[in-house]
Amino acid sequence: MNSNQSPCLDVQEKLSAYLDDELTQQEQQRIYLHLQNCPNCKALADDLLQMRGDLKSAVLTSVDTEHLPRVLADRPARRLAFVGWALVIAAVLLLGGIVSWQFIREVFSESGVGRWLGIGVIAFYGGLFLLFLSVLRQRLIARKTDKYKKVQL
Amino acid sequence: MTTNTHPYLQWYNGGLALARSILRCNQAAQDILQTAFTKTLTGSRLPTDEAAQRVWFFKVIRNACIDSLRFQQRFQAEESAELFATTIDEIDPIEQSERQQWVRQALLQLTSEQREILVLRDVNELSYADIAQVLQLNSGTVMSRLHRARLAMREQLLNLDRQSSLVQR
Repeated sequence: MNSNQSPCLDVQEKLSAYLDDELTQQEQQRIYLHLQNCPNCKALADDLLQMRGDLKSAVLTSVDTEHLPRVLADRPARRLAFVGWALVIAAVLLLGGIVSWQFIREVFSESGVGRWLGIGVIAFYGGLFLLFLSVLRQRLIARKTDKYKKVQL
Repeated sequence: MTTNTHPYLQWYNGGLALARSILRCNQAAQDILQTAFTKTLTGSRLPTDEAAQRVWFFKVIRNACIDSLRFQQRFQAEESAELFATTIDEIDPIEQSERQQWVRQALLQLTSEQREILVLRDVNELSYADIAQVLQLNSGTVMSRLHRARLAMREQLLNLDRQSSLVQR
């Protein structure tokens, strides 16, 4: 045993690891037994233990370190944003539907050149809409197989 | 879409404590955290299990801190300047007990090496094996460095204790 000359020195070197429960079981046991019989080492161990607790509370306890998770987790803000988006989408659908319905009705009630011009305009916007749908469909398919889908903030 | 699903957010405070202890500046530390979170969102080969994610996250923060220190050209001069460093503490003094203020002050007196290992172990409760990975040391070195850091910390606290009792006399 190399600890025969100065058991305290040997124990103190491993005291931190002992307190962190990072030693092997035998060493843990050996230091535990030494601490029972040695008031000096016991005092140092108590000191270190108290300091460890103090450090955690001193470094983590502060108002400003907690703001980000709290801001992000603010539920009323999330609900308001959800309702806002729903209203905007509903309004766009409603207004777009009414305007295009009126336009289509007027085009078909007309006759001659105006009618064909109207049909051209409808075909143009209809084509754009179909192109949008095709891209949307591709995106949705790509999203289903996206491996980063779960990463959210 | 709840924030609790972002797996790295649980280490926000601990990561911020680490960045602050290395940089000793609250604003710079928050910038570092921002960068680290960007990495968690855009990184292409992130670890999948939680323990590895935590090690990875602290490693990213530490490396970003070192980069930022290098960028400021302070990394070399720091060791010598440390003794004279004024401790700018942005924590509201009213909310903290005297003991906690002492601990923070003592922590700032240590070297950056000692500060980071203390914060990793005592604040973030990483195991020695995890600390070894974050700091890229072997675990025997972690054990001895941590112990020396704690002894130095204790010494600083005793110093502060002595000073305050001298003032009171």
